[in-house]
Amino acid sequence: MPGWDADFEAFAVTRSRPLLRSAYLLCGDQAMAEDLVQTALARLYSAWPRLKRRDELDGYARTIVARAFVDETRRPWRRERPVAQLPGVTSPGDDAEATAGRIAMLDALRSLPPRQRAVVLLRVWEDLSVEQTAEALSISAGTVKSQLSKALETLRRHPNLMSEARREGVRD
Amino acid sequence: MTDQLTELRVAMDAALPELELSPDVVGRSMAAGRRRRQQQAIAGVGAAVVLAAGVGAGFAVASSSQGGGGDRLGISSANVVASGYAGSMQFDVYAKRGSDCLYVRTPTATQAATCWVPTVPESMQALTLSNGYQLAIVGAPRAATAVVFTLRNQPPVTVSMRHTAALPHWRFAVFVVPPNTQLPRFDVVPHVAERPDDGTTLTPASP
Repeated sequence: MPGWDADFEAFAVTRSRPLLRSAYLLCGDQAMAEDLVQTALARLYSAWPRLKRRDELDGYARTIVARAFVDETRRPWRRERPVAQLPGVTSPGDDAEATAGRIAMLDALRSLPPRQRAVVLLRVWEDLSVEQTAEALSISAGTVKSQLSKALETLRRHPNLMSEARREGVRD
Repeated sequence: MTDQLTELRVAMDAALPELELSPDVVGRSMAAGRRRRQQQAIAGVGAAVVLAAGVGAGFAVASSSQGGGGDRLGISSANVVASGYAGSMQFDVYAKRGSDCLYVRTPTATQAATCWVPTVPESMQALTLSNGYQLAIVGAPRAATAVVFTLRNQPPVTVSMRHTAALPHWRFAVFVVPPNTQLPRFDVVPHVAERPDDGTTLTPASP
């Protein structure tokens, strides 16, 4: 067993939960989110001895999650199927309004194409710069901007998220 | 970050439900990471397997991605999902519509035998066909779910799989090895099996 196992394990135990949250925002499915986290951690483990900059581990892990998600959605058996109700979006103590809000947001995110979702996750959720997001997803900065712009436009127009006032604004 | 992006981030945060990570995810990740390191150390996957198993050995790797997706095993039609050669002997792994079995078709398989291959990582069994060839299957579900392969050495050799829970993705490898040839070691089974830390060499099951 390599000597750095304990080092890695300490990192994984601490960071797996935030990674799970990011992964869940991408896929909206707990089982797949766990798979993405596992994929990310496994890749990180295999690269661990080569990783010199420990301060970049988080970013590296997040990037793997986002890339793994985009890759997974290209696989035929992973293609998403629409469901009437999103599974696992309620939490103990949720009231109806809060639950509706969660579902609306997650539903809106799921309406985005996978790459746009990955851009939103890295640029908005992880607060990466345009350049960092571009590098993480191996796309140009211009593509990040255009994908983000399209994603925001889609979210703005998503019927579940629009307030009456915004709806009026869109019509205008 | 602009106000618009901040507002979206807050909304995303509020949308997240309570998420609990399975307690063994870190352990599984480390096991998968070790396997990945071993894979990276092997140049030429197929060649490595054949070399390790001896001249003339064949192997095929299939996963639920092959076969089209559809039913619970992800296979919806009668089609070959993987093929391999062991010496001059070809074997096919194929699936039938509506069945949750996979079949391994070999030219001569007449001896009745059954062995069970629980595909918890690191397990693998093999059986010897009547023509002396050995057939082995390794399964590696990524989800921590028990899967059982049954080999019925009747023509065609049937590989049935049953699982105890939804198993969205799994992979398996089929090895067919000529007589008097050592079966491959775990450490040359990339993508499909965990390697035991002691580097166990496989021993064929009694016919």
